[in-house]
Amino acid sequence: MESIKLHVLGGKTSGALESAPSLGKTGMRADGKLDLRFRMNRGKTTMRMVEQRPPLKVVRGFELDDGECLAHIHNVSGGVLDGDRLDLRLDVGSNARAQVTSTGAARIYRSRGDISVQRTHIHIAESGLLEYLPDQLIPFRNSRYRQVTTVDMAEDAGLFWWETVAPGRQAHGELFDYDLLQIETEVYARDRPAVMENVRLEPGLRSMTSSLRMGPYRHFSTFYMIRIGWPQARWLKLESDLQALAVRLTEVPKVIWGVSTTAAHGLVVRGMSATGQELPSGLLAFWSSARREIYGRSAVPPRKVW
Amino acid sequence: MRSLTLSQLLHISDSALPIGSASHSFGLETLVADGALTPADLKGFFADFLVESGALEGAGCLTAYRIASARETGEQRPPGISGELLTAQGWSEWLNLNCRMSARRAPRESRDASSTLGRRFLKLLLEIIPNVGLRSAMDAASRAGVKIHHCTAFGLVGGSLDLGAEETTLACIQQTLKTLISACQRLLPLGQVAANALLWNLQSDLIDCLERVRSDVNSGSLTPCFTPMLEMASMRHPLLSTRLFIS
Repeated sequence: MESIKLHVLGGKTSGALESAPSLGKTGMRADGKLDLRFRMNRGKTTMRMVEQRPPLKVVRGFELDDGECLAHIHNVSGGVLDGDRLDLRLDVGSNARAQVTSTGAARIYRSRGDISVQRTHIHIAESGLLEYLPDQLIPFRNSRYRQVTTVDMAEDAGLFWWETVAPGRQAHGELFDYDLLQIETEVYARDRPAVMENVRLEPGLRSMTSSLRMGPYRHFSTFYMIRIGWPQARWLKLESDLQALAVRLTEVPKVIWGVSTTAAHGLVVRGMSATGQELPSGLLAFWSSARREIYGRSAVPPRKVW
Repeated sequence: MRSLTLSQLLHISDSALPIGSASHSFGLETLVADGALTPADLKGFFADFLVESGALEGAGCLTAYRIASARETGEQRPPGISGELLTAQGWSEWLNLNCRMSARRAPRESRDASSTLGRRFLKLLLEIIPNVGLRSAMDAASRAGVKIHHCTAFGLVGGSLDLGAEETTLACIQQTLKTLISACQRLLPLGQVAANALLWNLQSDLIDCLERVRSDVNSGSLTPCFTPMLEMASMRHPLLSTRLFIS
């Protein structure tokens, strides 16, 4: 049973990150991998699954109305377990259009000492488009998780990518009870960095409620919208338009939104919310507006409860 | 530290240096307008600032210092000697560092503020110490379309004058802190004495910040930074109906 893991490693490791030995597919931790390629083929984008190793799985690509290909990524473990190593590769070919989402929230389970790691490598070729729209990430009490995402984009490549992080299982009374959550993001536009982030959250060591960090809010979202080579003047105009939307959607101290151009080729939208309920619909509103402006077409959301 | 280098470091880190730093609040103005930052919050806020943004600024400064210090074949040369400051590889590394600093700053206003201060800082020093090759920095950045950030300019100058890596980095972080506390004096009921006491009482946090910077730069890891409230405040700053500050 590849997806079953037994937590027999007790206690903390001696501080070394990602240090536990791999026990392969049948051991205590999973070395999951999913390698998907999207290619344009006679006006439609098709998906080829190059490699699939549990717990990561994809069923098949679904064709959307505009020829885009939709794929749901599924973690058959139900979440990320202690020490898992997950490797996701998304390769979007020239002119291909892909929408990738998840089948549910990414639950990061309690750690017995090891750090779970998901590495995602994304390549978007010339004039390709990726809409990467995963569900929220929920770090459980005492979880330790590191997520490393690298995106390489070629000329005229496009990316819509959001990420939402919950403070834990709020219904269970968990609020920033995780041990470590590290999110490293690098987006390169024609080999030059457009976005770089390294978020390292250790609520036990540093207060999340500081006025510098999250203040009265508990959930946060980041949404990148990038299209290489799109004129800077148009990004500034779109920034202004989306700022107006942000003002309409902001209800201090319930939910707050901000918009800015990135260092190059794009925009970033940030949102924070006390309960998290307003974030999905807000992200959807920003996506719809921006996609219409940048690509001249409305967004086609995956079927979910928003 | 020799008297001359100490004097030079004190000069370039003086908050009275006319580069326009007093015109920027980097989002603090919005936080105050929202009621999210009060005088009672300041000690904790700036201690957290040093953990996050302060460490990022410091890492940019220390990395730039080391690039400038390496020079050709690692030879050290006396400060103030004319000639090319960096090798081609050195310029490439320094420009890349500036690109990375731009990519690390999500809010446009804060990013632009940092690059405005960086450009003015270099330009000013170019006027007063024209022989240390700083012209090349301006030219290289201009040719490559790269924005120069204040911390990387500060590190470059510190390295070119051999002012000491840790001393320069500490001065850079402290100057950033002074700029923000000064902004708070104009935004909040914070008097001179309280502002100075605040800065004085943050010294151990400054030293801790320097330790983290050294550790991150030595290990080559990306310095962590998580400041969403301040970032979003900076993003929302253009929407304030009344503004004292450019950012």
